[in-house]
Amino acid sequence: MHRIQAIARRDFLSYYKSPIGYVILAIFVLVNGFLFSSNLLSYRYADVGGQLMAISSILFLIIIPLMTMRTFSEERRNGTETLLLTSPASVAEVVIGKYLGTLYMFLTMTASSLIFLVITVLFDGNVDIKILGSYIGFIFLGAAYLAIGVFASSVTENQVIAAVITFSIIFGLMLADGIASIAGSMMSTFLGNVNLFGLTDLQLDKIGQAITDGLRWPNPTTRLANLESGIFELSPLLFFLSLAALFLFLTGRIIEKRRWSQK
Amino acid sequence: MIEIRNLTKYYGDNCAVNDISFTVNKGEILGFLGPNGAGKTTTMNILTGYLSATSGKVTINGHDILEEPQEAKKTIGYLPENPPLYLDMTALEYLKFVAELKGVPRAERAKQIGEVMRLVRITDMANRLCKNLSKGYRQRVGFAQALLGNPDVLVLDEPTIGLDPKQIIEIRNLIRDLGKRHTIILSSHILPEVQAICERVVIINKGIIAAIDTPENLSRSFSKASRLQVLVQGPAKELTTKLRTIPGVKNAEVVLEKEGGIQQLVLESDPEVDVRKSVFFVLADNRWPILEMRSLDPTLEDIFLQVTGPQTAGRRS
Repeated sequence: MHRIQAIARRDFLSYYKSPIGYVILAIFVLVNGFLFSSNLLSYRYADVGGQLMAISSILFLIIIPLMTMRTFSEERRNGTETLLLTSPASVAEVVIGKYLGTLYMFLTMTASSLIFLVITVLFDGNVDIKILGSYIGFIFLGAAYLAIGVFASSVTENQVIAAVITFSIIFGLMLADGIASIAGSMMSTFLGNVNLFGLTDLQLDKIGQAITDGLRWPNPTTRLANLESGIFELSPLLFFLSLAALFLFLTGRIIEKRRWSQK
Repeated sequence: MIEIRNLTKYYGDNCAVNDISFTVNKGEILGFLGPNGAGKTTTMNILTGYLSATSGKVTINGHDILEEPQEAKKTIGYLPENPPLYLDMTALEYLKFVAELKGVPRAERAKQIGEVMRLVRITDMANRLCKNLSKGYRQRVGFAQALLGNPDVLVLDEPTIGLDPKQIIEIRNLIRDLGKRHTIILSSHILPEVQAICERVVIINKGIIAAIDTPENLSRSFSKASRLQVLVQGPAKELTTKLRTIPGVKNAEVVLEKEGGIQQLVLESDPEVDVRKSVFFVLADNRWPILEMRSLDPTLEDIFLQVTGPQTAGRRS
């Protein structure tokens, strides 16, 4: 356990030894502040939860790759990976430690948005359970995406490529949701026109619906809707945790595999 | 202490290490020699657990590196070819991190870090960023890192690379000192260094062990005849004929004629007979002054070239 903490702490602190940590915080606070003030100016109400959701649906595409691109690729490029892998720490400890390092950074960033909550409370603004739901959703979604980023970083020793892979995976998940209904109806129309299997209209509709649902299923953002409106369920949280666990597991496998077939 | 048995490593179709076996005894300093690409670093990476072997077995202190990696790795301090430093940390921060990673108890950390920093003489660099350290200092911080946690086994990949001559001597003395308490494997391409420090030498070439013995035994077994180089002022032809008459001398040849009638000769003689005295008297009787005389025992370098290179390379003197 102390090894995981040691790695996590080192990684967290390293964000502030280069501009990257400050750049991430600045982007986040800037966008958050912009949304907060524009809400106030145009609609005369504060929506801290809504801001977070807006950020999670777009800004994550930039923030998450920036936050995770260095984790493993930098270690490999510098040769410090040797230190970690020849230390008594196991691969699992290394992966979890590095992941926690990014998570600490993410939580620090999230905490900076509490300023807006404080301002809202001070000025008697609208604070309800939905904000809590949004925060929980925001953090769990971020945690899942971070694991994707850590995975991407373990695949390559080039930070830029790692960032692009993370961006593509997250963007792909978002895109899948956007084209889900179109893809579903196109498929059912196509099958209807070809009419190869003699399907009825009802069956065709069901197939189309299944494809739409299938494409929506892996997309994390669709699972936030209930949380956002203050309905707390276990299933989306479990989904995010499983997603994170899956990608961390894959990261561990990638590192193990490289030991067997390096160069 | 360290047992390597039938170790083989393939990178794709490329065989980097081919069925090598050797053991390192407790408290021994073992030198690992070989040309570039011989498989030195691969072997070291495998026995520290960074890479996995294609087949074969490595046990450290009775712990198999694959089956009980935690236990095995606890007993190893590894200094890779490029010291694994986090460039954005100061030397002190870095060593604190490594101590934590290696599970040095909190109470002992400060003391142990102070100790290793004193040993490798980086105390005055403690608060410099690793980024701003010179190659020599980076190497020393890497050395300090390997020493943390007081491991029984030290694996050092080219420990003196990038150091200036004074530092090299310091580090060599340090390694010799450490050898009293630790088992050390060090790789090097600097032959006199290995000759100076190591009790036993493994010469590896193209992934195969070419020779393994003490440096002295290696010299002895590779010397077919002892050779003597003499610098004499005198006529070349008469010199060689006179010298050949000395009992025990098999051959005498002028290898180089210098200005002022100075001849550089190489004598080959029976290894059992010391011909130096007779050579002196023969030359003195003829009033041919000896300017220099030294024996050309095969150095580790000769042996190295002989076992690793093409056959002709071994004849170089």
